[in-house]
Amino acid sequence: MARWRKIGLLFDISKILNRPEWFFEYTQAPNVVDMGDFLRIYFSTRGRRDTSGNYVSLSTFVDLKSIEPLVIKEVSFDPILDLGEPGCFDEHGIYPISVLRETNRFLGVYGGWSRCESVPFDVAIGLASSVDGRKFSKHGTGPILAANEMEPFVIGSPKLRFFKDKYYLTYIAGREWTIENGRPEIYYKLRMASSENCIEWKRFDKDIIADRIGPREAQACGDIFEKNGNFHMWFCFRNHVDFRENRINSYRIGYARSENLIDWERMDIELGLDVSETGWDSQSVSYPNVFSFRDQIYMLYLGNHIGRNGFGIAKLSGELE
Amino acid sequence: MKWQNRGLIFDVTPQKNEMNRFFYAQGPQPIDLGEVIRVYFSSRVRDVNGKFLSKVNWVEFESISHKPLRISEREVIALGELGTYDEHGIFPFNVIQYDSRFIGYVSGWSRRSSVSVTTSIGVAIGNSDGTYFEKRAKGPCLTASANEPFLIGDPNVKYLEGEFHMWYIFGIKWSKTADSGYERTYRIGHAISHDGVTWQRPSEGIQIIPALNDLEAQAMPSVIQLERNLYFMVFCYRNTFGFRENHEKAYKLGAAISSDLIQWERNDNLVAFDSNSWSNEMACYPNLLEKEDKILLYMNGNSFGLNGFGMIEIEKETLVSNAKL
Repeated sequence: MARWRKIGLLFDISKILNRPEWFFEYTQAPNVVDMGDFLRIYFSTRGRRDTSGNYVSLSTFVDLKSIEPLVIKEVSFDPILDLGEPGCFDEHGIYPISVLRETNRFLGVYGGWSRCESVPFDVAIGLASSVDGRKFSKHGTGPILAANEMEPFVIGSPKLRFFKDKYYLTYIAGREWTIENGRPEIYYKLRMASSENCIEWKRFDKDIIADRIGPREAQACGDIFEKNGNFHMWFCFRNHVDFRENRINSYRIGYARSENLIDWERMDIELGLDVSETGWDSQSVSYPNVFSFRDQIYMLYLGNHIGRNGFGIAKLSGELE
Repeated sequence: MKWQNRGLIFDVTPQKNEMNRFFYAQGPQPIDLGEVIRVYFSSRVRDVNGKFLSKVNWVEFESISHKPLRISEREVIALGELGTYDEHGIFPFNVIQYDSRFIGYVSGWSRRSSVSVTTSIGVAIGNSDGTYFEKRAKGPCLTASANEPFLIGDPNVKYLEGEFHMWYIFGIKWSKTADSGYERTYRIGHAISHDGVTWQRPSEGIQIIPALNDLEAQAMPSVIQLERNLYFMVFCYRNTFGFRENHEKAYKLGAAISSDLIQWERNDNLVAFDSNSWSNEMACYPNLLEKEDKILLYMNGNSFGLNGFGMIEIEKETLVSNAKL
């Protein structure tokens, strides 16, 4: 049976010197693109908080020549996408971004954030493309996937894949905002959609992953990996409330398997990832991205405080069924 | 040719009547119930933070004298829950009668932190007599898209030629003002649907009515069919800036005609009327109703409907012959 072996913190933000202001803290939601002779990892980072406690997320990348041992080729100090104009869905943040490399272009789907009054934020999903994968331009000033009747708000955490003859998107849709100790808290569910052209999406209109810790389980980051015609998904989930500091309620990484991309069987026990006893990922593990590099399957993931220190890596020992 | 001004038929002037229940009566939206015309409108209440919420009410008029007969007594449609598109108001509320049902189109408001607000459109289903509505779902049926980035509102739905048509507005720009606020510019768009719920935007991001200048904001389109291959639209327009205090830049009525529901020819003269005290500074939020041999146009006048709404009317024959000139 296969299992994950943790290697440790791979990318430590504190070791990246002379970072620009917008690249102050956090490396969140890593997503790998195979560039042939090197690996590009897109991630999102935050600038300093302003006097109101607000911050802005932007996305960038690091190129690796090798994972074991870690050899960094370049860390980009230029954000791959600019924030939207006033009133646009991505005015206050671009987080996360998932990039698909095609023959002549890179396609990116991203969560665009805008701040609200009664709740802290709303999110919708935008599309962008790039020739070199370094600087992206947006498809329109608005989102390609936003709220609809059954998905009323917070459409985010997108991951883009191409299988057989279609694009697939995993994403989250907010289900409910509740007030907890005077503060709005949200839970969201993993959803999927498919598309011929990456612009017009047909939604599956269902929750794709069964709840494990109750109806208010919050799920995010559905990361699909294909192996021998089977589909494996890693994702993260947490309790609806008290998840920021409380180890019990914080994020864990779950696992589900599917043969058709529509019906998923959740099997966290088999290949999920739990927190460590001590160290950088002892409180929470989240935002998985699974990829194959030089015949080895790896998972990038975030540890305590959802990526404040950087992101870590585990590798699979044994074969995926 | 001018429309005849029937005056402020629903007067909610704050100082005038202590019993007045309504603060503002905005965006009048009439439906024809035979001997009675019911007009849905939005009025304002303050929330716990002292900010305005727009809520829907209705008033029924005797259809010949246009005297008010009856006013809604309970909540007509609830605002949305925390975080939803219509949490902070419904304005306007466009009601149609289709297949012996009442369907309401919600223009829902939700506050933002940099710009003041965004809007999206949702669907509600009425009870048997259309006095009360419930939303189909928590979320909207039409919201921001790649080429219509924000402020999707002011729905006007008509079932014509075997399809549902919706005219609505979409925002094109939020412009910074001298005092670090933002003002919005929007234009009129068109969507079609087979079921009244799932909408296609064949002309997404393309305004269907030409603007007189770049700063023109167009709102509240309302379309009726005058005869075969002749459609009439009214709307209102204002400048992006200075429209609250400067009469020159305030809302005025605009009009356009079309033979195919795709190409529209603007001709604001088709909605000329003699304004008087209630409508001499501003004319906005129009909505059309054909009744017998007349076309009635319900609208707000000065101060965006603070004092209520009024009506202007014209013989249909006169309008048709002018539209064909």
